[in-house]
Amino acid sequence: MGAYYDEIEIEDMAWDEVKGVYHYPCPCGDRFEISRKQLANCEDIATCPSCSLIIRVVYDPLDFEDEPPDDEGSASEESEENEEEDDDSDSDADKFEDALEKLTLSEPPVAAVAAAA
Amino acid sequence: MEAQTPYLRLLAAGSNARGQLANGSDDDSHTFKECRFRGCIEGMLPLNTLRILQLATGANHTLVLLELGDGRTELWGCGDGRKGQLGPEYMEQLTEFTPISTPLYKTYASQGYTCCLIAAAWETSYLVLKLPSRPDVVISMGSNDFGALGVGTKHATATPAVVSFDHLTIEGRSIKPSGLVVESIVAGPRHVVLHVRTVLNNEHTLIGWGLARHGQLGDTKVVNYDRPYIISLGVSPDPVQTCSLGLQHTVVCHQSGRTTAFGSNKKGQLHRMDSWERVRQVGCTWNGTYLLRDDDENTLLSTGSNAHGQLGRESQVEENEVTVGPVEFTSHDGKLPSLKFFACGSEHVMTVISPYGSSDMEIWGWGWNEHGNLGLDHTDDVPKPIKIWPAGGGHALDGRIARVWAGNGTSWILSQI
Repeated sequence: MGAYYDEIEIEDMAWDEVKGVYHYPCPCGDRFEISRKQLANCEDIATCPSCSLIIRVVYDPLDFEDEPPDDEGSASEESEENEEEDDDSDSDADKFEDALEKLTLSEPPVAAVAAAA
Repeated sequence: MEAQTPYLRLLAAGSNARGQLANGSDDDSHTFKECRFRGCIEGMLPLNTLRILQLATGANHTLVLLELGDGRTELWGCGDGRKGQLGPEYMEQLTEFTPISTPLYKTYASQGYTCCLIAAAWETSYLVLKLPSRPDVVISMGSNDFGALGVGTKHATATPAVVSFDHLTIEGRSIKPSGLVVESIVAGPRHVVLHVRTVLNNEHTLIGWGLARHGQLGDTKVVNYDRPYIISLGVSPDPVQTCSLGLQHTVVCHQSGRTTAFGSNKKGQLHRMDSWERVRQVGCTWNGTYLLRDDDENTLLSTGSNAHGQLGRESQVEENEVTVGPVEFTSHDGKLPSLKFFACGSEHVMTVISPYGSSDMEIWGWGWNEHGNLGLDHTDDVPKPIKIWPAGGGHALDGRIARVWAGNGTSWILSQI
């Protein structure tokens, strides 16, 4: 391990929707950060802005190969994968939309089942 | 009856990026400086303060629970409030201790509840409120990363919430939350552990939530628990005396003096830490474990990461070899001091000792010191215990050492004059 403070699996890192970075606690109270773009570029060193300490992130670069080349709009594209960590207040609106979508889609199969019976 | 209120000073050193040292600035402090309390005379705690019951440190925020002369308690906080960890009233940064009273807390306080226990995870705060003959109330506030709030994932952060235990069962029986007494609450950066007791049949149980994938909550079934979960460790026959949490591990000291440890062992932090006996106190740095043995020598054993001298035993540690051994205190006369108490920070340790044959108290510390958190006016790591306090020279009013605490690159001294 040597120069690294630690080697950390990506599963132990939290996702910051606003800054667009994965982060992990640094013992100084600040945090080690790395962006999806860095991960897509096979960079694996997350740094702490307040410290000399660094960590190596253990992850599969294939999981990030679809990352768009520029950061533009990356936050919205990522939200799907990190759903469980989200606390967005729009969840009700999302559900409503989901329901609408399902309603139109599910109608024909229901009718088909009824006809078959 | 008016209690005689002592003259107390709280001092802090170390990492201070968000004002968590409460010294009026957000610059690191490499020496111990007095903490400020809003509206109080500089260098003093609020009038009528009898003692500090608890001091809890998060990433960049600090909570202190004060006991006042009239029997009430008051919660004060400082540092980073951006995630709601200081309550909804302070969503920015506080560089001096300020009373924390969220509307939710006030609602309970108006019914007579008192805040009796506090804890702080990374960016989340926990309060335990008590009122005789009523169920204990656990309030969480701040970040919900990895389910830290304990109220599921749908909760809007920055709104304090009451943690529910209604869904828990022991051997198929509901544990009747109304009869649940919270004996202690301890938080690591990413997980929380409560020691609870049922009033009805006096059963003791450990309950936790937060990150779990390394076994720090007793098993590795899921990545994290976002609601309270019963840790499958039968503690009723030998209840918990103290408990300490690292970044990915948990160590329990039972009332019998026996220890149990679980979670990640990547740095050797669990190495031979299970089933010690005659242990008086356990403590965890983020990647290490410390046991104060109840023997004649007052041995403090250490194991785990030593990359910054955290084990405090320079001579016995081979690189890449995990060992358990006693921390090496070398006093000028070669005689071992008597160890009273120790506090683990993220990667450093503070101890209160009495030199051999003396009743004086001193603070010794060691480990990672990049932020000047040992208060020695330098930022070099310290691989062996060194005297920190009394600092000597210009500190005529140092007073008697009442307590020490250690946080994430921070150290705290309460002295009484």
